[in-house]
Amino acid sequence: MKRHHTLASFALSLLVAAAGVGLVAPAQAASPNKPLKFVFIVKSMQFPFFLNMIEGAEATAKILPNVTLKSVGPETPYSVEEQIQLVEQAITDGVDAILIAPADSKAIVPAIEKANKAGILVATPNTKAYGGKVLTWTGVDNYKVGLDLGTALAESIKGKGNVLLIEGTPGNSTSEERVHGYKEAFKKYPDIKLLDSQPANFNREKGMVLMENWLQKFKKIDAVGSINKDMTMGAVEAAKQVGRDKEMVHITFDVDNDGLDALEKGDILLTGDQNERSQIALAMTACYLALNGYKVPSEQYLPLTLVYKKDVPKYRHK
Amino acid sequence: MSTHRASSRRFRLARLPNSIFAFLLVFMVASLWVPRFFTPGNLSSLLLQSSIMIILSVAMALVIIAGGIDLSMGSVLSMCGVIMALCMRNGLHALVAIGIGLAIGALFGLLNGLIVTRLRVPPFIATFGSMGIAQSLANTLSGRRTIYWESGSHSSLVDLLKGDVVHIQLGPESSMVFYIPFLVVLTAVVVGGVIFLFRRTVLGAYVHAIGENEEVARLSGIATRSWTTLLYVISGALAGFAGLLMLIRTNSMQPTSGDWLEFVAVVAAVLGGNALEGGKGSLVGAIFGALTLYMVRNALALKGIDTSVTMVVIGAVLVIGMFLNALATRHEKKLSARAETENA
Repeated sequence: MKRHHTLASFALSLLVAAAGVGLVAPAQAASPNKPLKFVFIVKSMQFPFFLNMIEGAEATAKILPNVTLKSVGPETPYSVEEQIQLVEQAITDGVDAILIAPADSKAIVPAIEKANKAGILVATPNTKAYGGKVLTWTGVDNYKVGLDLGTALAESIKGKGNVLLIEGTPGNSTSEERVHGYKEAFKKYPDIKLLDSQPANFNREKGMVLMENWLQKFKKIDAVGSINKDMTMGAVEAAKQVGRDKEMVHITFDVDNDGLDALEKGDILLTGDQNERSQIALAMTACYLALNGYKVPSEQYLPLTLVYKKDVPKYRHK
Repeated sequence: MSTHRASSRRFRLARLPNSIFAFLLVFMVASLWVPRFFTPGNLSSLLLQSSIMIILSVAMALVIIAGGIDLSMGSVLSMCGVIMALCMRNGLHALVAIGIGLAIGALFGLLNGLIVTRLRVPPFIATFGSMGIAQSLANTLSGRRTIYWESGSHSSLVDLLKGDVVHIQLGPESSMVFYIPFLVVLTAVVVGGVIFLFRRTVLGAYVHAIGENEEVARLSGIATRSWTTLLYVISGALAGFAGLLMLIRTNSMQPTSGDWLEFVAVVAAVLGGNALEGGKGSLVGAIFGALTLYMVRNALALKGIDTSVTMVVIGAVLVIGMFLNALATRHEKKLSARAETENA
């Protein structure tokens, strides 16, 4: 991509030079030098996952010619009402494209419709919106995330044992879909016993408290599945405190330095990577192409990668 | 308030609610520093965005002036919203659904009021308890999922309320659209009603008296228990009304949508000069408090500044707001002292 960019700008400078000496008439279709304003609205500014996404967004903004980017998110994590406010402000600001990971797929729709009315492109990296006109969605299938992780969990304990499941925030669609996937996977293993499934709101401390209660309640735990890494980190800590960490394996989702350390130490057996930086990069590129008159697909699925201890070196950067 | 009044009822700086100073300060800074802040489009959306918080902070100020607090507000908002959404999902007419939702909000307020006045549980604890109850109800009733409904003739009222009363295109850009949504009009009517009750009936005087010293108020013949209970009923109903606004705004209802809003409401009320120890404060101050908070958020987002900085700025605004008010009070005291010596 970088090379294309250099080539394009080289060609462009040739054109400009030619026009300057009167050899070529200055006939440009779209004006490639028009500055483009993108805004990226995340679900929370406090979760490493979305900070990774913002990192990816900033890197992409540097590659795309003339694109400036603002990354914002709600103060109260996962507040869709605040996200609506941020969309309204992006509209006022006259941006060219709004990239938003909706905190709620349904509740964000009125805001997307407003942006549509103002003629602003909307793309939804990571999470789908159930309405409005969306240019493209990029991401993993959350149901499949749950299904794959659930299957990997069951296989890791040879299809037999006592299992617990940590859910995200009640009512959050990402959480519900992944949990659904996990449960479907467990159905294929008759000897897997799902002891309990409870929410810990994507929160480390809540994951810890939940696990502490479970450790009191259940004598033997073989595996703990989770739909997000922060909650697992809390659960791991709780099990360590009572010296029961070797009794069970932890399966979780999302990759960051913290999680990589835990993988290396063997605290976590396996995590899933949804390549969040690529999600936003793809979405931004799609907006850029569309603004330059190209057609882009409305759904862009990225694969889910399972990350074990042996894969850690590949994920360390800098 | 005008400076042209007769000298006996001179313009008094310290009489203005605290948050006016913070409001003006933030407004000026934002207008100068943030491009497109001072545009018809943005000011319109600022009003729309603050509507829910204006309702909540007025309710919170009412309770705080009487020496109480209502922490259940955010959860009652979620619960009432979920109930209204469920009613509409089951085909009930929007008006009926709204009526049921508001009634349940008021009922919850009644519960709060009775626990505080009859069982003598401190408001902080009582409303904290009912916060949990309301939140669980919201979660259970909704099955922890966002509730939405098939749009139809029964829900046409909600569709209407999503729209604008006034919509004027002043220029080609979207920042040049001046609009007043129905939500803002509804908010103005309800808040106006509450302020009218507060100023033109005995309510205001009684609330101040109760907040200042409940025992003295009771001995001077005010039915303090009933009046306090009434305040919680109003607060509950207003939280329910805020739930309606949230429902209209998201065209659906999330069981978690009221999370943390009660604390923002406390901050807005305190910024508006409502002392947590009771007896002192103003509803208008709370409105400006809410506007100030949302203006900070709005301006920082327009500027593209990391949202995690917002709380820092809000904290600073709170401190500066308090400081400006203290300055105004001191200035006023000096003036009146001078006037007294001149008269003597």
